[in-house]
Amino acid sequence: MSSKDLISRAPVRLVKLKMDYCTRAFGVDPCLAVGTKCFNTYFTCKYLTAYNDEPKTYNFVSSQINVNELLKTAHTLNPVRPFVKAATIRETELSEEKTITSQATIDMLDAWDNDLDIDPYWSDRSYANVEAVKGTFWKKFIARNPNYAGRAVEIYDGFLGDAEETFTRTFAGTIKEIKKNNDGSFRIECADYLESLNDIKYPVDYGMKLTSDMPAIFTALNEAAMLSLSDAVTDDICIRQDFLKMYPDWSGGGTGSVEGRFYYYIAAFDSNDNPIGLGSRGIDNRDDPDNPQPVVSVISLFWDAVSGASNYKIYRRSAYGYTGQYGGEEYIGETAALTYDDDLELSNGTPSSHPAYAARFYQLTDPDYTQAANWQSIASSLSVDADDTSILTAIGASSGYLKIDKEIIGYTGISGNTLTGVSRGLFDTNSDYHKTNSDVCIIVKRSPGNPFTHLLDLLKLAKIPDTSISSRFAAYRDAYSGISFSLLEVLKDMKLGDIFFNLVNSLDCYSWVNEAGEIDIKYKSDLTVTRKINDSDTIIKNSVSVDLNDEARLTRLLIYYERDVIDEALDEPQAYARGMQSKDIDLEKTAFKDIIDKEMFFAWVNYAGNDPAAVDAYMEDITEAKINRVKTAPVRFDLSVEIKDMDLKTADIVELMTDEIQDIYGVPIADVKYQIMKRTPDADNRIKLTIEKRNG
Amino acid sequence: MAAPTILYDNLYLLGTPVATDTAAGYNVLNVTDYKDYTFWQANGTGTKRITIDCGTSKTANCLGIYAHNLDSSGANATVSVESSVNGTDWTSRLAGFTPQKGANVKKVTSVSARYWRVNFVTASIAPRVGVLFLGARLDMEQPAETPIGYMNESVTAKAEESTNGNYLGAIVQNHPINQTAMFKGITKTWFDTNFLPFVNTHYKKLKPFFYAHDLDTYSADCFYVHATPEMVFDPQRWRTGEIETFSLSFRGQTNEQ
Repeated sequence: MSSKDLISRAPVRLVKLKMDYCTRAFGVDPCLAVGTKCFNTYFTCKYLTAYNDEPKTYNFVSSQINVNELLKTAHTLNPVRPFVKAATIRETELSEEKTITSQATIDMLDAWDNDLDIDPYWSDRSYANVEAVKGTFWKKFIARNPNYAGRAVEIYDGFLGDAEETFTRTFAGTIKEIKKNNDGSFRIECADYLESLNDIKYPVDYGMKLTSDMPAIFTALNEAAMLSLSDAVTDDICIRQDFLKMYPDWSGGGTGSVEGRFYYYIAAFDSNDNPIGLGSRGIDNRDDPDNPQPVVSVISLFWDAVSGASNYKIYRRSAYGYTGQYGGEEYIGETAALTYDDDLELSNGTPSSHPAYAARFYQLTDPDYTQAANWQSIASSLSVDADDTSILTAIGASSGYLKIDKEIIGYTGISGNTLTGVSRGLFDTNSDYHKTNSDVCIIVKRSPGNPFTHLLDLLKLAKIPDTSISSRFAAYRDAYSGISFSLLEVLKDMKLGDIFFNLVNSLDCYSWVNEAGEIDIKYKSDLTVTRKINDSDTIIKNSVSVDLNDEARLTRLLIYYERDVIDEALDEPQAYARGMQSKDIDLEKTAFKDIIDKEMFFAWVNYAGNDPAAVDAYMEDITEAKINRVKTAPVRFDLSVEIKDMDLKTADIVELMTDEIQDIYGVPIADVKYQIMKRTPDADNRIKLTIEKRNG
Repeated sequence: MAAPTILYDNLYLLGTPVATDTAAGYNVLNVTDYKDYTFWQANGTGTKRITIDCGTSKTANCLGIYAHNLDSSGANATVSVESSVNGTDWTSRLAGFTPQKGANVKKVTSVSARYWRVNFVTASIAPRVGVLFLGARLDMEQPAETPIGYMNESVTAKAEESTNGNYLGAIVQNHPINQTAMFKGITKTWFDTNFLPFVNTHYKKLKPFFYAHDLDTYSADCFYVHATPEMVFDPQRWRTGEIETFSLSFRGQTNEQ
């Protein structure tokens, strides 16, 4: 029997901090430090090149606890300090769209400390006895670990007399801040991993750095323009775009592509198949990228002849949309004529020996940019060297986009720590010079696939430890058999959590940090009952309040999906090609006599990789489910339970029996399903629950 | 009725205590830091010792042990005290006994010696000790005024009932004791010579000490205590110099958890 089931017991709250700590011995090779010895923390290190981190765990328990008694059954906790004056976990709260994350506030007592388990060189410091050691624990802790932010915090709950293995983790996250209270205690503010996810800026800085300087890139339409690049300095690169570029919208037909927006490139080649550009601009009037023409069904392109040209090659690339969305450019074919339309079958050649779009690359080898001889022709394939590209491989991003400073670059492959096939200055960003050690940030793009794989990869990007991710993600992934989910590049700066929760909401799931400190997930449709709670043996006297929750009602929902504009924010309707409205006319006209509406955006729900009809059907089901949940106000209860019922967890479905609410006949409600939306252990060792009525 | 005993002197602070062996993370110096949450633990069972070389001869006549696993429900240890003038030849000063839970105060044969050691003999569980005092005791000049509140125990706890009135359970955190001993008729000479050093170096600095109400008759009634921040030390003296009255208030934990 666990002590929680006893009629009298002593709860123990255990806090673990994991701080940087070096495994080396001071002055022993490879640590070549000399002088007064350090404390093996990063900040006190005197020979950083040899610093080798292996986090050190500091244990703390409730100040009311007799540590000697605790160690009788949980001896592995030693050394442990009874400094936890109060540890308040503001638990996660489920909500329809975005979970409110959990935070912990831990107030720690401070006391003189003998340093014996902290200072590895205690015996070398010539103390007369332990009383000669100066300073209090927290003041010394902060002085030796000023870089405490972001370090791991775990909170466990157990009972005096129980083994440490029976303690259950109730919070896992990171330190945000440590402050000294005016009563001499110290306050540690902690955030859970979901909040960390919300704090992570997007594009994601995972820690990749440039290992060499990246030159600036210029573009020029021809040689004359290249020789007038007055801003260019040695090593800078010029991409000569001696080709005609057009930018129409197209409604489909012809060669089989579906509608979308495309770049067309026409380049002239001599009889030796060398690109010689397209010296004269084309005469097509749809070549202005900033002013794409209205949708046309047949593309007709025509251009001026180039002296020395024997034929012209035509390439096409999808700006965003359908054909070629994940495959890059498409070679259309070649023609000796000065015109092309998409109904014309061209003789396809093999363009692989030519630079994409026939662009040519030159690198300035001398400061004098005006001399053609100083521009050396180089391979067209640019590359970028980073210190560690393993995360890109780990999340399956073998090609994609990255952001360095303000520039967006594309890459088509990874070789070791080198990104190959790099395109610079994409999406109207400037190809600037970037110094060594510049951050290389990841722009997320996901091909159609299993949505739970996408979620797990996003958590990986957020550096969430595997031990802090619920196994339910993998179980859902393995059982999933629905439509594919995908995400086009998101160019807007935002938070990684917005992308994560957009997918969670698309799946009609809740995601939260559970009581074990793991990021968890659960379908909202899962109404499996885990417990009954009632007035007799569960609900604490005078702890109940009822909220009729009228503000949660909704009569119509307008949803957007099939995102096709990548440079708009996720919550902008113009970023989406499809919209759908779901409403309950009867409710609006008779019951409520009111319209309560809401917009929702589903960036991950796209036709790509799916039967469009299946996607439309999925969205109909999702919107109907969302409306059904809230078309009548879901009643909420706040109530408290005793610590014996601590196994009631957030997102559990319970059956409630109480006379706090009665049916139309005045009978107390019985066996009605409610979901635990919020669970907060309070300072009195009660557990406060917020539960919400569920249909079904 | 015997007078109360205070033990605040500790020879283990006069040098570096040495243990026969020590489990990882349980430095022997922890027994001298007054804290009941830092421990020495031997690295196994058998006869284990904590020895101190005082440098010069020092007198000890009392042993105090607290925060340990030595009682009969734990390691069931036999604890004894020995002294030596040369560190080689040892003489027993306290015969082996098995400590009770919580605080223990024992009289030790009073001698002066340079080397002292406390022995712990266990069979199945390694001995663990949080607080170990060995030194000269302070016996009060007079017994405390009666009646003596020798427990004054309270409880830090909370109990809950359900909406329908059923008893759901209780949490019990600890059992603090808050005691006050009142003394009368203390001579000014004894007070200044023997008691004020304790007050000035220990009591009013809120350093912990051992307090035994009557070691001869009620040896179990001893506690590891400290003054509280709210303490007021207010001795009242007659014109003749005799101390009319003063009280000693302190706080600790019950010995039975």
